[in-house]
Amino acid sequence: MNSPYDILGVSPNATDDEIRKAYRELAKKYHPDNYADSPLKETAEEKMAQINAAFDQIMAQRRGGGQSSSQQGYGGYGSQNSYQNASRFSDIRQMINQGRYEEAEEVLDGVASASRDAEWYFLKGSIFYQRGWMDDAFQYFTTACRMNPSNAEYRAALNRMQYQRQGGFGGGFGTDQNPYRTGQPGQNATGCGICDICAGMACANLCCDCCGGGC
Amino acid sequence: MFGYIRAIKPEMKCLEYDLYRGVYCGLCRQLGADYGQFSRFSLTYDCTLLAMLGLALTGDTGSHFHWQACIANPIKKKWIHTYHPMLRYAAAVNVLLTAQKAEDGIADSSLGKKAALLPLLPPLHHMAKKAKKRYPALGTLVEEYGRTQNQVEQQQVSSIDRAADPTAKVLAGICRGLSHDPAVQKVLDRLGYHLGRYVYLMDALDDLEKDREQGSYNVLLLRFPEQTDEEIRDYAQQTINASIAQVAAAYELLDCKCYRSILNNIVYLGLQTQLRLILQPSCPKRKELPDELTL
Repeated sequence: MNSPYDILGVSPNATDDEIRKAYRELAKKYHPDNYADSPLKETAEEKMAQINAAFDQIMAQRRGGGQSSSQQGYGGYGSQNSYQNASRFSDIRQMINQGRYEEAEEVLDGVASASRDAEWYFLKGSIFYQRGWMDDAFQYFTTACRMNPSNAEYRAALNRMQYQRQGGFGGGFGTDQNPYRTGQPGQNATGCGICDICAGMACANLCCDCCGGGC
Repeated sequence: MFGYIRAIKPEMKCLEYDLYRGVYCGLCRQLGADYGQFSRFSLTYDCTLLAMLGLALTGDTGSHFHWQACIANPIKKKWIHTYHPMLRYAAAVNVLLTAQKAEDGIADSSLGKKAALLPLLPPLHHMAKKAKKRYPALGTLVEEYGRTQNQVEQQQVSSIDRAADPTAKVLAGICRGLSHDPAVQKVLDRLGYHLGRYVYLMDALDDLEKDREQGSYNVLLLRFPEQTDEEIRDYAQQTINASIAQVAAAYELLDCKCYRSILNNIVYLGLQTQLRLILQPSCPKRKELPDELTL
């Protein structure tokens, strides 16, 4: 069995600060934003739970059973991205949540084209995304946002994709574990707000320009 | 495969490069041992990544690097990885995909090229047969890939995702074979799928001008019949970037016990740099240049 120190990748002699830093970097890597709509969401959640437990255990040991603190930081695998909103397609959202993508797609395809609204396009896009069909996913998310520009859920999905399409990575990129290109966009991915994504995109653009990447 | 997946040498430490080369050389030897000397010419860096990833997941215990010379350069000695089951697997993948690619190449090339390629087919077939015998599941996977890829071309599919699907699926299957743990296989599946999508679209992007001139099948040309090459390149870059992000996200979930820094180089740097290189037509192909020299 791995010790909590192995899980965080630090030596048992590491200082509290080193441990906190290692924990923060891993938490950034497994951040829900990087795996929203992805079939690997659960795996990332497990990893996150693992490092949270390891961090809590170490901190508790060091403080002689005192309070733990991972909750203050990136505990955050909430249900923010699970498809639970009350809607016309709540049954389909449930199927997607359970990973029954093919069934969900079949039901979606059965919806008459006249009643295909923004949510329909969003859900269909989510199914494409998890299948790895990034181009179709992008088209459907774009349509969903065009039909209902005020919906935050659709907008967030589209923003995530746009960030990736500009060359942005998940949270692991640009951290100490990946020492290349310290100024790259992925560094900004600590937050999950739309502003951060926008800032990331702006950075990505700048980086592209200054290295003459031809964009 | 195509050699798009590779490390960026100027960003590697000397030791990292030696180990990377060592696995490459080890793979070359494994090819020679398993499929005869001729097969060694088919080696690509893509399969080196596969071998390294597999070795990293197992922790590569019990194997060694030997300080030896090789026939290609008998004077200079270098580190060469010893035979290993993971290298054997990667070698089989290499042989099967090369044979498949040669077959496709003959199907859609001109007469002169056909004549040049034809004599290569029997030995390639022979090697592929050997590989299939050793890894039957892998053999079926690649056959299925050849079949679906042909369908895509015959039906003149104009959806980027549909066209890339066969290549993506075959690589997903190949990567899944690197582990026996179902939880790891799930991650490898996603990683492989997007590596395949990346490779396919990179190839389509690379052949854009050639295919336009010759009127060959290229999904990007069908998807954007009206647009200029410049616009197509721009769009393709974005959708390829989306796959790179997925590869990176999946890669982060893997527990690599060694070679981490080399794999980081390939995943975080190599994929994007290769993309940038083929987007600059003036740039010598595959030349590994860092885009900026900063220390």
